[in-house]
Amino acid sequence: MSIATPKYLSQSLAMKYFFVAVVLFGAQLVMGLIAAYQFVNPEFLFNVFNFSTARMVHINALVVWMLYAMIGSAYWMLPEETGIETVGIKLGTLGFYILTLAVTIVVGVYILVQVGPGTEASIWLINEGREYLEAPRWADIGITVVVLIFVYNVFATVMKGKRTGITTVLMADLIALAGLYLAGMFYTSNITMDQFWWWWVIHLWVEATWEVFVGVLIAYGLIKVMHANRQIVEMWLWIEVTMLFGSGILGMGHHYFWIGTPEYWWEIGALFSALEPVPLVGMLVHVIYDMGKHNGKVNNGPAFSWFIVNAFGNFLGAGVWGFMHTLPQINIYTHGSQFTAGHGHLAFYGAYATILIGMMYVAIQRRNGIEEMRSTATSKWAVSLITIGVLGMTVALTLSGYVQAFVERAEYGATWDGYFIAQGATWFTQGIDWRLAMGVVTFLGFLLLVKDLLTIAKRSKALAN
Amino acid sequence: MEYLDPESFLGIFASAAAVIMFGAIYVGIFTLVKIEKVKPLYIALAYLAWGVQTYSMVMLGILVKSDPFTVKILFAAMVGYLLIPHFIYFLVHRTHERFEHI
Repeated sequence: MSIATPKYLSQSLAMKYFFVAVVLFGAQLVMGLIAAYQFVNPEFLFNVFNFSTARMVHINALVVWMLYAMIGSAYWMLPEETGIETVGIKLGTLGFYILTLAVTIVVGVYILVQVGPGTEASIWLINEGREYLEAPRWADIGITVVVLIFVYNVFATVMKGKRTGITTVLMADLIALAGLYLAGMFYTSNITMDQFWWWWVIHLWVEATWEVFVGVLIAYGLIKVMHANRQIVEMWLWIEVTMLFGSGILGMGHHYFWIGTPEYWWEIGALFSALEPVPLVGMLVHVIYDMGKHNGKVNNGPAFSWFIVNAFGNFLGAGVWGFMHTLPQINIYTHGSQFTAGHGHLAFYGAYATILIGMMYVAIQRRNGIEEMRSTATSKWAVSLITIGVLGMTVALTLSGYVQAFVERAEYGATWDGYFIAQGATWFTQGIDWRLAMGVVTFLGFLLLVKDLLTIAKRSKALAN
Repeated sequence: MEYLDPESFLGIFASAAAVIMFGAIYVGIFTLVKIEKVKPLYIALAYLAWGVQTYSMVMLGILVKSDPFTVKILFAAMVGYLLIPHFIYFLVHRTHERFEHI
């Protein structure tokens, strides 16, 4: 028995976005492996493809594949939530091709040209030099145009079709998500002011608008995968959104501790950062609640596995690892160390990668009209290897970061000598070695994930027949 | 802001992690009791977890050399954390009654 297959162009467009997202996910992991190996063997590709470039592409690919998957998820659920085809879908499709062409050119320039002479032309054509947001200005403008098309598609569709709590939150979130990107598109000559605005994009995207987006996806996923009651799920969503925005906006203070902003940010940052894990606990409980209410009955095993990893991964990565070093008293020792990298790895994986992969499985199931899609051995190996790999990297980086905080920062007072002594400490180097090993485990899991995404629909159909 | 003793780093990381972990255990068990997945007796474990969480928070406050007033604020925050799940479940149950038992 099968469920109705999708008939919407919007969902075909979503599959295109998911496809590119997976390609970029792979690119992110390859670049991560190169950078991790360069930590172990600094001679590797020295002056050919330096660590700074590999790291830049690693992080940018991460941000962009997640944006692709988020846009894909929105295009997927929009017709199902509103009951109509997405308005302006042809424009949306054109936007997809423009964005993909732009991303291809930008990545090509990152890899082949890498850096420029630091003139205005470099900013426009090569990269802007701002960590995490290196896209050259022409691409910045292109991204803004494509995102505006996307926002128009969502708003016009929701206005015309049925409006639900999920789509209302999505609309509010997209205004913030698109608007905040503009804060990272202008320069001031004062580095403190420049960083001040730059964090509006980085922090408010990741710890406010992206988290709300995740709340929207969890709500949609629980309804589709567990047939959870919409009213209850949407009420949870409103509670989470309130808490996320309530703590996330001023939680930005923890990025303002050491960039030259006034000291009152210490108190603001400490208080609201301490509150930031509360909505994550709420999201965890939300999933436990719905599982309990529905006795774990699900129609999509692999998607559900990823949702569960999301609930716990978000809580551990963003909540536990974040709170461990978010207070200014301890952050002064850990800031910018491998401790931060450990937190970043688990938080991005737990909060975002997991839910977006889960959405890909939801789309595959519904696109192929499969009533019940069970996890295959490959699905289970993929989720297990990737999760073990990321957790392993996190623990390894935390150990290395601990050495940095203790030796480099506390004992040697963040001096140049202290930096090199810490870099040579046995626990630090062993942590870096283990990070590479666990990165390889993650990559193997990714290969299995790709295989599963490409084959699970065929297998499920064969089983049903 | 006072500099910290490097010897207290491990205690700070551990107590900060414990605050969040025991916070989740508290609301997790609380949730399971409320949706009748475990016996009501287990609510005692939930409150015990909250107690450990509060102790961890106060420890953290002391280890990072917070002033006595801030430690009091932290304790007040923990009282808030004790009450929040009750409020959320009040909302959830009301919604549940409204939409699932019509």
